[in-house]
Amino acid sequence: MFIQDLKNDFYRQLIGKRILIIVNYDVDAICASKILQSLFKYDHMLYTVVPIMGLTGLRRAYNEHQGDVKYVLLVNCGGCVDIVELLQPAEDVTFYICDSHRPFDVCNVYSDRQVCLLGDPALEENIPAFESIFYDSDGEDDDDEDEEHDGDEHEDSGAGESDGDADGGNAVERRRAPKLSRLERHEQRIMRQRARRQWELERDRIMFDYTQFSYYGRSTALLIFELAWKLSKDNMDLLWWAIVGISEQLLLGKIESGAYTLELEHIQSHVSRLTNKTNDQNTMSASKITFENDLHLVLYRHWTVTESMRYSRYSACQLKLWTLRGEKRLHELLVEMGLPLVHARQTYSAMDLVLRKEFYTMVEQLAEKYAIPDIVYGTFTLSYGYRSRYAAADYVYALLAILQSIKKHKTPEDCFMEASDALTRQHKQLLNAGIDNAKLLHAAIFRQVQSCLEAHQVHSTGSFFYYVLQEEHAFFSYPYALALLAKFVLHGHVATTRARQAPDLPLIATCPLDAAQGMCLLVGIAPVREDSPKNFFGKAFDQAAQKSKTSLLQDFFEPSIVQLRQSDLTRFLDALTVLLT
Amino acid sequence: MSRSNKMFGDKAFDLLKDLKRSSQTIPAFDDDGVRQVLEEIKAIFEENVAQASSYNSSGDRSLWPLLNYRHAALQRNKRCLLAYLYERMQRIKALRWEFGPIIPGDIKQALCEPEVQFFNNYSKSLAAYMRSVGDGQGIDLTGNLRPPKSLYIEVRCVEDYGKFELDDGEVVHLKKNSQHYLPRAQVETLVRQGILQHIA
Amino acid sequence: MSDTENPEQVLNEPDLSTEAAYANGFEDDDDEDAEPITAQKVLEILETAWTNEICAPELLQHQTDMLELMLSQVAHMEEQMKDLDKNDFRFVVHQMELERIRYIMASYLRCRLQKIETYTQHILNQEATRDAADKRLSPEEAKYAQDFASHVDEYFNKVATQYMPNQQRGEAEQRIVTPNLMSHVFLKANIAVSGVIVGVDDEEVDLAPGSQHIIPYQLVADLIHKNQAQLI
Repeated sequence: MFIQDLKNDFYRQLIGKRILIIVNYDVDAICASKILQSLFKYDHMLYTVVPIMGLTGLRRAYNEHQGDVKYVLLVNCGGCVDIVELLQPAEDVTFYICDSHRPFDVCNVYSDRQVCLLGDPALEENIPAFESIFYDSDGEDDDDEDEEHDGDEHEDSGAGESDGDADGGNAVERRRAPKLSRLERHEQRIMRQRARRQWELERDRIMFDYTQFSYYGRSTALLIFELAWKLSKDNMDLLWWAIVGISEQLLLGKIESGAYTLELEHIQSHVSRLTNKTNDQNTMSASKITFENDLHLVLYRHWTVTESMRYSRYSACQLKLWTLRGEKRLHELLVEMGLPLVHARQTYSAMDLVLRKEFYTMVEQLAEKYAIPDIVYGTFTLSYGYRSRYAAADYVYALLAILQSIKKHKTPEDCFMEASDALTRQHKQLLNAGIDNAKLLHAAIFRQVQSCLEAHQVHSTGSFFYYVLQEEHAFFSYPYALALLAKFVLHGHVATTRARQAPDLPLIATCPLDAAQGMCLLVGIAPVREDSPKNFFGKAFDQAAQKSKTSLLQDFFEPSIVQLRQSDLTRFLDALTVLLT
Repeated sequence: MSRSNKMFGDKAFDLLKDLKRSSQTIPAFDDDGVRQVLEEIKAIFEENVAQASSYNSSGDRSLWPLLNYRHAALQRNKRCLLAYLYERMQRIKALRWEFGPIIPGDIKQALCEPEVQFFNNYSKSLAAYMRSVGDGQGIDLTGNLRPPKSLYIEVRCVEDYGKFELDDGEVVHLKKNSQHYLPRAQVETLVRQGILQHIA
Repeated sequence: MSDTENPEQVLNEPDLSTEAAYANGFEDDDDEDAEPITAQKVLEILETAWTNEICAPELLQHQTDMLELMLSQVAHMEEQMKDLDKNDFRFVVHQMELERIRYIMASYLRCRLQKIETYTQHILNQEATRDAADKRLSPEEAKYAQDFASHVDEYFNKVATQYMPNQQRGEAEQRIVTPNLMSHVFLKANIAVSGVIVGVDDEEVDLAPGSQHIIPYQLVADLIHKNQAQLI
């Protein structure tokens, strides 16, 4: 069921209880959990935060804490799976789910008590009506059919309630049974079976429509921030975390630009409200959030202008910066901007103050001419002290890089903790280290894109592109980096290719995960022309796997990222080709 | 006097230096060193006794400085040795406050038998004292080591610990890399033991 | 604030047992026992004792009675607070106050123990010369000190002294550690004290109430003992 009034139906219910917070491995989730933690701290509520990666992690985390906690809060995970089915919780355990993944699993939506989804049902798109997907089991016939029915339900959506209902139905049936003759009963049964089959077909269709695309809802961090606001417990830090959360959605293409602009307005009002509330706005060194138009250039405030332009997806693809001509064009642009190469090649913060002040307008003026109009976008910057000034995007890139910095002696959980520490202002060095890491990552992505495009490694099957990385890679064996790379590759390829339908084709990229286990990571990227975050690969992967009889490990909460056995890859891609044509 | 290039008291001084320089909480008991110092004391003493008797019998005043010198060396040795033991004793006492009545295995190996016994005695009498304070109500003095700033603190679990029950009956599962918000008073010991890390 | 079990009142209301205990324990005290003592007062006395103990180089008079009063008070308050809602703001405040009191008590006793451990033999020797009425150690502490001394001796003996030549074993008196009573302390006068001799040349100083000074401890130890001044 949905909970709209977070303040009364969610937060007030939890006060004084002990809570287990299970947090998914993404930036938005981290931000949301940080906000939640500070709220709970204000109210002296005991909590436990456990970072997880994927479904297995969720199950493990829950099982470890099972029995000790009655209230479980899932942040950016669990909304799309039938949580009751997955975790088999005891009756008195309540799950609160704030998840930006969509579509929600219907069993979660129609759970009457145990599962509460935080959010506004009015914002959710076409959730199937209850009657159309859950069979009114008064018409249940015999045990055989019961089982069959159960089986079906499990396959499609899992069945929370069907078991209980079926028992009730049988009881009714037994009472009525003796009144009818054998023949009548038989006839009736056939009729019922037919109606039933039709209904099932219809249900399958509805469910398919509903689950076909995976997409994203509102940023969880923002949702939680609004809760904080309603509780009058909001402050600059919390707001900043919410901004970082939504910026992640923007940068990873999880939100439509229209929706983003709308959210910006809300956030702006929060910003001005909180800025007016604090009295120290005159001091230069006070922490301050400002709205401004900024450039889609990776980390440029912490890098050099040339590098930032080259390694940013948008500018690189529009100007084709991996070619010699592109490089020339970049120089032309710099010349026309009046930015001397000496300055463009040194760290932004060391550039001439005048140039720095004019940098934004210089780029903006020439954006049309160089076909990079979309390089401008509205965002927020955080400044505190005399030196620290970060755009929300800087935070996102740094955190992503930290999340990716898994090594032998550094578990994903360590990275998670580091990332969540980096969000607080006291740990600036962590953030800066993250920014340096992010630079390496982006440079690596660019080089990979360059070599891939030069060697024409992007292949087309007619219905989609695919790109296969042959070797394990320090960066690209992790989902986020692989997704970033794939996106860059797709955009780059579309920019160079002459094929007309190219912007409408999606891309699949794969990279070996672990040579020893022979697994590889597979991501699906929506076509360039598609602005909405809808991605049909989740369902498509599922079906292709069924068709080709390959086993697919769909452990991540992003359905478009899966793992499968390296040896199954060709078979799987073939099946996918057939499916999508 | 057999070790011509070594001075009296060198060994004893080494004991102290080693202890001071050691980075471990408590270095292994230097059995050998202590024995050597004791032997040196004994040797000096015996030589002195021998010469003192000859001094007594002969009244040879020329032996007087030598006797004095030996006596000073002996005193110094003794002093260094006891200082060594005293310093170790201080650290053993600190163990009791830090880890509670049971010595962690790795540290126990560094202690000699009498030290372990001292620890146990110390632990026992401390416990007895803490029980007897306040008309038999008892106070746990090993808690509340730092002035309280807030009732609850945010901690991160650094090691797997398992279930931990709070006073009000809540059970918390402490697993590596999970983060918790718990009553300070109750988790203070775990923080001190390094199982939890307090994050500001 | 309608509920009768308000811990605020508990803290301020003198209860009968407190008075009785106070009367028993402090009969010989001259300035205060005319009026009943409140929990607040007990806490104040403890706080002063605590700061004095921390600042003074030597062991001071024990405060067992005050401590016991406070302990029962804390237990009483805890009992009262069980009925309060855990999320009540007052609960948090009172809980915090309790934590502070506990810290003060624990820190006070720890400080004494530390002195006892350091100056064991010295303190024991001094105690032996004192009358029962002005013993500085509480009975528990005295026992602890005795135990500790014997443990240390046993330890030294086992590891080293028993292997030493006979004449060298004794001289235990050489090992006695004594506090440096001439170390300087900060102090604040509670009441006007005239003619305090400071320095070796019999220089005299009058202390005004509330005035602060740095003086070698030994010269003012008496004032502390009589509660005319306190260390800060």
